[in-house]
Amino acid sequence: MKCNGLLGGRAWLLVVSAAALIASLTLVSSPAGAPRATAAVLTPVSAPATIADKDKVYLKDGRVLEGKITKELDGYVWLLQDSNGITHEEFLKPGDIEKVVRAGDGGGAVKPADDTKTDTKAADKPKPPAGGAPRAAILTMEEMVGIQMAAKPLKDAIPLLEKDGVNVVVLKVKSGGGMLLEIQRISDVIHNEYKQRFRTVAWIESAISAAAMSSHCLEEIYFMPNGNYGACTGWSGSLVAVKGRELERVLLDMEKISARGNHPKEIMRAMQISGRDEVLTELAIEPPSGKLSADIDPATGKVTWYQDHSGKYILNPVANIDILTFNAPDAEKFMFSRGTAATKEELTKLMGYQEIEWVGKPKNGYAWPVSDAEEMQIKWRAEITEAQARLNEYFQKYGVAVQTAQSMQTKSDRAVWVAKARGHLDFLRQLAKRFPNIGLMVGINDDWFKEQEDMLRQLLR
Amino acid sequence: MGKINGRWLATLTLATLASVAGTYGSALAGAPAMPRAAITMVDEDTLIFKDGKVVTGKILKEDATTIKFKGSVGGIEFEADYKKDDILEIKRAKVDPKGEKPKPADTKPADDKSKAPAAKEEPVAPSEGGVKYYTMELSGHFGWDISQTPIRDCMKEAVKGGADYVIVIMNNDWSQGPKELSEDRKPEDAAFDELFRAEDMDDIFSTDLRSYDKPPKVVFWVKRAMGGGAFLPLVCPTMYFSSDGKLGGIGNLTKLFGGTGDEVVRQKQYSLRLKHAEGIANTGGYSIQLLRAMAIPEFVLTVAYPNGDPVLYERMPEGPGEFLLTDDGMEANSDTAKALEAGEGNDVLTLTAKLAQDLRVSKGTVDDIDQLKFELGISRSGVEVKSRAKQIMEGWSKGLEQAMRDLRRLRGEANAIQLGGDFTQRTRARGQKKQILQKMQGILKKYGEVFGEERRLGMDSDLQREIDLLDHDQTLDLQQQRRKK
Repeated sequence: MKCNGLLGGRAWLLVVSAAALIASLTLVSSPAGAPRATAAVLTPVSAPATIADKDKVYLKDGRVLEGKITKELDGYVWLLQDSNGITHEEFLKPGDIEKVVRAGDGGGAVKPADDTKTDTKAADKPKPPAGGAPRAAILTMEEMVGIQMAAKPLKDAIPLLEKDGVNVVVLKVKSGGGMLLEIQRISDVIHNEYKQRFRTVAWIESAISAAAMSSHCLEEIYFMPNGNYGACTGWSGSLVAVKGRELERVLLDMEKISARGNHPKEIMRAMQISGRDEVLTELAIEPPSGKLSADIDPATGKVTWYQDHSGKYILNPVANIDILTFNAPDAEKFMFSRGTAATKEELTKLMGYQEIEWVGKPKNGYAWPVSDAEEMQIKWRAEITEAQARLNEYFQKYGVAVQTAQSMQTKSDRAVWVAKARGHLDFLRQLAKRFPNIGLMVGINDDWFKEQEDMLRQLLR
Repeated sequence: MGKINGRWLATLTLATLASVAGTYGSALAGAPAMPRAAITMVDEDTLIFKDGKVVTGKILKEDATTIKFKGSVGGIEFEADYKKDDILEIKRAKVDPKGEKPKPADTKPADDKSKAPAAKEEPVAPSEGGVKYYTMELSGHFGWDISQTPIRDCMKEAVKGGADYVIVIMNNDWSQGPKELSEDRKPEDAAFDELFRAEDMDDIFSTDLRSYDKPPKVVFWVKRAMGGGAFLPLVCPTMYFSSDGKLGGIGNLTKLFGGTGDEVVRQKQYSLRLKHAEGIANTGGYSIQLLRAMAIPEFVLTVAYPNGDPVLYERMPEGPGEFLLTDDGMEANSDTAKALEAGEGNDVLTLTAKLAQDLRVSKGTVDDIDQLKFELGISRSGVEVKSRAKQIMEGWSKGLEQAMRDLRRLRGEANAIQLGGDFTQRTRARGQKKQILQKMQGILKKYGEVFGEERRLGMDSDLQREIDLLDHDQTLDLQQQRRKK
């Protein structure tokens, strides 16, 4: 089994690669060598064809948001957006807005956001999606990607969130990374399922390596004051880097995921590979390297990114360290994050709400109410952690039962131990079914179980 | 913030800014007579906010985090609650505006002044019913004697006792080797990776505080904060040093992995670790440049004090008013043995009391608890919360030491058990061994956090596997006995 990891943090564990994942991704042309690129990603968050009857807000980062302006005050705009029947309200700061085009303006009447006057509804609160304060839930995504932080519990939580009438999901991330194979799965669940149903935002305490790559499909990212995000270099074994064609595939995959989140691809590349020129030879990949710099337009605040050092601010390397990881102040300064919040109350404000109804019950040790969906995440992590730690015990129980059966002289004695072995094998099967990545890590799959069944049957002859 | 609306605040700010400007003008002109504005300053409490706003009036009530304030605008009185975090400075009325009793600040006994730095007025902290403070000392080996369970227990006790301040004396053991043979580490020794043990504890002094109805203000008093111990004080905005205090011992970040593996992966490891550490500094509000100078031998940092406040430059000094903090440590710049022995190395930064104060990391240098109380403004109003911190911390250390001895002893006892003899003897022996292994599991459950959760679970699982094997052998043995009969 081939092992490639993206694990960050303290654990030097071998983690398993996703050959299947990589194979399943469509290759596009290799990255062009154009070193200068602007951060302006013109893909709208939602782009229905009938734009004439919607207000449009052009942002300085290049995005165009459409919907209904529900409130304006001193240049701040509250925009109610509709995505597949799910509405959410976006709070936009004057400094982020390039211009506003109102429904009925015929597309021609352009009015700078700063000129917007307080209308008669100015005293109203931002309009919540369903006539009251929006209902929000915090889901924690923690520990190792592919084990504790996985797509499955996230997907399983959707019905619970819908049952609770949740409009806003905050994915609070605290993970040092993990398996490459899980990145695309998590990204798909977030992009295809969550973003279609809920206003989904990331709240980053620590998103290192695979955790950052899994969260990268989200446009709306907030940091905690101690937050960090990046260091996405793939490796395995004794700090050996993923190289060559396999690395090119991962780089391309992350360009696609960057596009999902409307993040300039240059940022993720600087998180994945270093900016030293020789790194291209070492890693056997095409240019550009992971050099990164940026300019901030003093008038508009717009950030322009460069995959070289031609910008005013050098982001990679920093302090002689040659892989990009954002801290909270830099993420905010360069508009990668939309702000820094230490508490859910601060986050509420940053998201543009006066008030949020947080779904769930108080729970000891948690600074926010814990919803049923979050309980599911907590339970998943506890169970898989236990299963991972006890794996050797389970294998030993099975192995000892098999050995004992093999040592028995009579068929009836063997049958007793074969029955015990089958019990332990069933347990392993259930475990692999519930936690497929654990099965993958230790190489137990359908074929292995079939071999074991055959062997046990032989013992009964 | 206050309960008054924005328009009121704007009016109030303009009015009070005018008052302050008047005071400033008078002072600059050297006018000896007390102008009206100055009388206001003396007679009323003044709050100067971080955003420049100023309000005057009377402090009605205050605790460690908030101030209830009464003022008036255009003759109309208002009351508002303010967060202390939003306030830059509190100027208290020397004479109570309503002619009530003088405030505690004015009743300071003369002998108190002898303890305080010359010409320094004691700040005044909330004093209604006394200001409760709680002290805990973190001593011993970091991550071992200093661990999350006893610290959390102390903090719970402090909160239960209604402490307004929790004073944490950081004094970790920086020696190496077993206790009986321990010797001081070399100045260049470092332990950056104790960061992750620090992260097991730093929440107790930061995010966990928010879960309390009345969170105490945590104050670190640094005697020795080295290795992982350097990170804990950095999570708190308020830090004092003792005269011989030191904070550092984390200067090996870019040497952690030697030449293992590919450079790009080593860089990844450095990057993620640095940002974890910077997160701690961000939480406490400290300069990440200083943290980098403490952690990265190649990082160059210079300081100047153009207006008295430190300004940092990521380059070598370029003028007489600039002082080198750390050079790049390369070739001729590498610290010599003599410089290291003299404590004058500059490849990485170690904060001393003076440097920490100059760099605005430390709010002051104090050598006993009375001085610290004075600095906090609670030398008279401070009431110590009954603390079992010493017992809790020592109890943990002794318990841990005993636990490690017990683990070694029990392991030896388990290994010494012979599983021979007849069925009864074998059964007894297995029972004894199982009991010992279960005792070991119990010890690990209580003290295993010092190994980290992952390793603790692994050790527990290994013991469980031994127990499972004993159970299996016993079952098999029993079957054979029955068959014999």
